[in-house]
Formats: sequence, C-alpha cells, structure tokens
Amino acid sequence: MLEHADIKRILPHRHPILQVDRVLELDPGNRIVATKAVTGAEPCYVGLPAEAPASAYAYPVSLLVESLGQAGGILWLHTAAQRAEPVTGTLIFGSARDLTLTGHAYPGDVLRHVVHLELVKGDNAFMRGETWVGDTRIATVGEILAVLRQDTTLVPA
Amino acid sequence: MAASTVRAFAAPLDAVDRIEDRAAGVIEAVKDIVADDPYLGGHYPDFTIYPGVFTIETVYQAARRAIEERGGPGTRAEIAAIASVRFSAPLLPGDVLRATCELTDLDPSRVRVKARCRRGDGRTSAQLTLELLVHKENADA
Amino acid sequence: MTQAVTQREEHFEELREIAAEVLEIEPEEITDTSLFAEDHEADSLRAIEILARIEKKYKVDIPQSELPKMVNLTAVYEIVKQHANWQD
Repeated sequence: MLEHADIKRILPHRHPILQVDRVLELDPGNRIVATKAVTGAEPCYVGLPAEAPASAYAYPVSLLVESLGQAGGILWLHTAAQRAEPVTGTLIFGSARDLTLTGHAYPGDVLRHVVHLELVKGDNAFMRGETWVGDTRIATVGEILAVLRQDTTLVPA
Repeated sequence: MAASTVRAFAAPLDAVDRIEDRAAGVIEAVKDIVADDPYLGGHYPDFTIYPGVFTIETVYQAARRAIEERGGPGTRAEIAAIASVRFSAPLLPGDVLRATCELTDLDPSRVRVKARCRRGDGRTSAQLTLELLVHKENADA
Repeated sequence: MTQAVTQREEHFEELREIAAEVLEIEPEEITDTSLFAEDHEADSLRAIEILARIEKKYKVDIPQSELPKMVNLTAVYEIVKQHANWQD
C-alpha cells in the first residue's frame, strides 16, 4: 500500500490536480488498485448555483479520466523504479481509446481504479483499466498510452 | 473561477472562452491558456501545461452548450464515451486553443463529436471523438 | 507455392487491419505503399501504437529502433516477417 506522501514521490502532479489518494494494491509490471475520494470541497464544485440539480454534482469525466490515468502512471513509474530502469522526462497523456462511462460519482463517493500494464516500449506504456464506485463499474478504458517526454520539448522557445 | 460563470454543472474550469464560429453542425471553440486557471497550479508546480483531459473538457463544454441551446430548456448532454483521443503537441500559457468540433446525430439521444484542436501556430494539439448522451431533465428539478 | 502466396496476403491484410484501426481510417485507404505519416497523418504515437498491436497479435518483440523504417505497409510487413520468422 502507498500513502499520499509516497504517491507524491512518484507522480509530479500536485494539489489540486493530484487525483490519487491511496494505492491499495500494486503488483509491479502488472496491476494497480488505487483510490480517490470525491469531496464537495474540490475546486470543480466551486460556484454551482444553489438550485443546481443533483445531476450537476456528477464528478467531471475529465477529472475521472485524469485520476484513472494517474493510477496507471504510478503503476508504470513504480515498476520502472523497482526494476532500476531509470525514468527521465515528464509524464504525458499520449492517447486513449474505447473509454465508456456507465455511471457517475458524487461527493462522498470513492473512485477505485484497477489498471493493468499491458506493454512498455521504451518511453511508452500501454494500459487498460476500470473505475468502480462500490460494486458499480462506472468507467472502462480499452487502451491508455502514457508517454515520457524530455522536458526540453515542453519548454516554450 | 470567474464570478460571471453561468456553468451549472461540476467542471474543473470554464474551458471555453468564446465560440468564434458556428455553421451547421460545426462549432469552433476557443480557450486562452493561462497559468492561473483552476487546477493548473499543480500541473505542474515548476512549469504549466494545459492537461490533456482539459482539452477533452473544452470540446465537451463547447458541444454541450450547442446541444443544450438547440434542445431548449432542460436539455442535458453528458459524455457517454471517449471513442478516441490523442495528444500531439503541448499547450502552454500564452497558447490559444482552437477546437473545431463537428457534431453528428447518431440517434435522437446520441451525438458524436469529432474535434481537431489547434494551437495559435497552427499545429494540431489533439484529435478526439466523443459520444454524448442527450436527455431531458425536469427544468424545475 | 499457392500456399505461400495466401499466407503472405493474409499477413498483409491483418497488418492493414491493424494500421487502419490505429489510424482510424478504412483499410482500403491504406495501400501497400501509401505512407503512414505523409498520406495518413500518423505521428510517433500512432507509430508506436501500431508496433504495440503487432507485438501483441503475433507475440513477437520488435525493437523500437525499427520504428523509423516502418513507413508503410510493405515496410511493416518486411520487418515483422523478419522478427517473427515468417516463411511467407
């Protein structure tokens, strides 16, 4: 199990876009189970009008995908560290395919991501995963490609 | 977050600054990338990149707005699927994101949104295809 | 003889299918020699995706150093053939 302090040593993301709270299981090179608690105090809920319906509080899909992707990032980078394969560069979301949403999360829910590492090819990692709230699967993604890019390519000229 | 926001659903930020063009089924949404937008302080502390998922948010908010305007009061559009998304160039503070979104009705309750996003320098930053589920909500709920 | 030709064609069609899926175009649009980057808008991400799918399908390991050579379907076929020991 990895706690939040451990996660911050693995991922470069910081508050409030660090979207993983805790890692429950980690099988290097294979699979991770990680959680993120959704709370009404998050910036995405700022400014919602009092008359907004319950549906307005559905956790944004963009943040849900970010959270799932970060769980995958932890799996990949932790695996690389364990195998003493030096990792350099910035973690980038390269692409994703076949992501379907089948439910919602609301403040008070805990997202539980299960991500599988399918293939690592140099600076590229292929993953697939699911997100659960309790016994309900709310998202499935067929393929996520995460990429490490050297920082110099990201700095504006 | 701007006090003037009219957004009535949870979102990490107001991801569309303006709609510049609208033809039949095609909208062009523009977002200026600025470092002090919500969430960007943590992405990353040393230098800012507009997160890939926020590009998804830009396209979604632009399409949602168009669908809700078209459908009238109580119309809601939510993401049912991200068929594919790929990022090909980073967006940094000072960049202008221009998302050209093509909307196609798959059936009365499903709209496909195909978008190509470009930066000010013309380079494609992302291409994505979303599917939105459209439904009517009790306007006074 | 007939057998060998069939096998080769089958591999070509499978590879065409993989490339079309990744590039999100119809298989017919990819000819044996059309260029992934110039003709079909492939970038480095798409190229690595094609490589990954081929590795998965044929259970073969293709070094990343081969990527720059995989410019079209024919080139891909020749590289996979070599690494998978196809006797087409």
